[in-house]
Amino acid sequence: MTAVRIIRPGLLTVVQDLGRWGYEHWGVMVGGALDEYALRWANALVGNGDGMPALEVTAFGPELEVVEEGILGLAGADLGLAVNGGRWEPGESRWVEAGDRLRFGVRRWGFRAYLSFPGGISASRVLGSAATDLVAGVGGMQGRALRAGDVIQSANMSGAIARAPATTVRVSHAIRVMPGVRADRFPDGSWAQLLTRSFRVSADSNAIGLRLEGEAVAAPHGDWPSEGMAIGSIECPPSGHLLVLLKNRGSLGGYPALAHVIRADWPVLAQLAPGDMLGFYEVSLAEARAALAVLEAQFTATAGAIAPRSLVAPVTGLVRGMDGYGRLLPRPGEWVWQGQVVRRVESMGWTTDVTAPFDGVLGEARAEGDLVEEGEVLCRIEGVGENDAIY
Amino acid sequence: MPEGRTSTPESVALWDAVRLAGDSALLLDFGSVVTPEANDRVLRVSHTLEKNKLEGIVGLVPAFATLLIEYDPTSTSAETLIEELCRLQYPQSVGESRRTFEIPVHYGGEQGPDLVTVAQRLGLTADEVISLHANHAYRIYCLGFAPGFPLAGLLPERLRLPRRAVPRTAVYSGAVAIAGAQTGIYPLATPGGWHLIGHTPVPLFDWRATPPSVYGPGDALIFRAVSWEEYSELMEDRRRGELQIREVAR
Repeated sequence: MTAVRIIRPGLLTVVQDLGRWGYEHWGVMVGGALDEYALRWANALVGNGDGMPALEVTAFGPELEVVEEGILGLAGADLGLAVNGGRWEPGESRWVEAGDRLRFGVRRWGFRAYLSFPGGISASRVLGSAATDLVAGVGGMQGRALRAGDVIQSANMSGAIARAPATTVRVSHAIRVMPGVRADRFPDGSWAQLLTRSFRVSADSNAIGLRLEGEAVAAPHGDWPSEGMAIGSIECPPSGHLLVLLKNRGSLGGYPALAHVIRADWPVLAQLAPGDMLGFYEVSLAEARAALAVLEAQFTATAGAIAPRSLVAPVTGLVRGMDGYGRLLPRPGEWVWQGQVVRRVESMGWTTDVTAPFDGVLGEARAEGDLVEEGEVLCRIEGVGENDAIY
Repeated sequence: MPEGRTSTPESVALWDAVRLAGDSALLLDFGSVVTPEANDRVLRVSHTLEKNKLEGIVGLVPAFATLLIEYDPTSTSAETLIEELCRLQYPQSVGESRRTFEIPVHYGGEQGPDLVTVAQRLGLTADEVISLHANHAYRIYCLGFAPGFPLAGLLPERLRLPRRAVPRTAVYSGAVAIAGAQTGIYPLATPGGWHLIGHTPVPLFDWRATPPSVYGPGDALIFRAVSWEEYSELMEDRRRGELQIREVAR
């Protein structure tokens, strides 16, 4: 198991997955990782499925000490992580040893990074999700941000080591929008003002929403009942200073929505830092759909192409040739499926199974009777074709 | 209206308009006025969608006179959903499922720190505020702001005040509050800008229960003023884990 202890918690480090979807009619917010794209990448790098809980690190990251060796993955913003003083750039998973010090330093670009663990993090699940809801105080680590002394442990022993062939974060100051559900309540000119100005992310912004500074937009005046506010909505209070709602928003809002940021650009919003400038660009529903399709196709192709993936020995011991039932384990060149035991390591009478993280072909692999060191590459699994559908 | 006319024929659309809330949500509009009738139509659609899991729908936010339908754009599309929404069969009414729950409240004192200022601003005595607020069935229009927070109403005109100019950063769990035409209860300790006029010992939201909230939109709440002695006994019951929300005949 990979395990780390928090030495200094940083600005805001929380356990997040893809969110607590499906309970908003009870007043429960969705939450989860603000940059889903980077979270999915972080998971892909250690051989996990998309939605496993990982650590979301905001702006000024923590200092961690590895207490149990194993694999960790890093994706998203470059928040200046170093291991024992050596740089660790996002888009790579690594083996770390007990006693290693992971220290986030000076932020280079982006705002949120994701640190992933094989099999995800052992965390409390509430309504089907491990996402931390800081307002209600549930999920993740007892519903709160991490503190010094907290220990975070992976759910699995085995995992993969990989390097992403493409960037794992999308940083941009151009945000694509569609007209808002209440655009018709706005005075003439508000929409043009939104599209022809630059705005600055205010320091008052948080995981609920980005407050925008700049010249006020012409705001509608009236009193309307609260209504469901979609994630990505750009709300306009009477002051005309806009608020862009992120995944931690409450489900109901009272201010009319002038615009909605398209799904493909939600991750981009999550990487904007206070002080960053941004501008809005109008797209149609068809263009929004195409943007998301391109992004998904690229993710599937590139995350799927992290091959061969290396599975490492979780313990020091002898490689066995059979599983616990006496069935032969696969040999190099054979097809293996996700979850299939591909190697078994015996150490002091205990056996540990290593399973394939996805369907593929067993590549180079240590043979029966070999002595392997903990952290050493045990075998590789090659993806099939350049578009192997892992996700 | 005679009984036979209250049901909407299937040919009449339940909603006035469907709006695109970006590329991953639809907003159904049921009119611009908050009425129990419009809210009933919201709930007829919302309950139907909860029961018939349409491919790609990931979230529903029923509100006073709107329903937000969130979907996963990689597994469905706005066009497909709208078509399916028009094809679904909706019940003629919200039905027999409506229930009324009694909420015992200790008004004023430390448990209702805003009662005195609320009374002053409304030109009423504290007792008048209590008698106007209690013993009246308020419809829950929707849950929102916080897990299990019921947005109920409508308050009598004489009790209506705009929300506090400066919201509290932490409101204690069980606080009974009013704002505008609405009344509600803070089930969990969260920030809030409503006027706190009392406190209920009744537990309202349980993350481990299914559903986590006993009441839902369409149900009603009746607040009952309790003495300090009864309040203390109820708090004792709660500490022992023996206090539950009570359903009453409507």
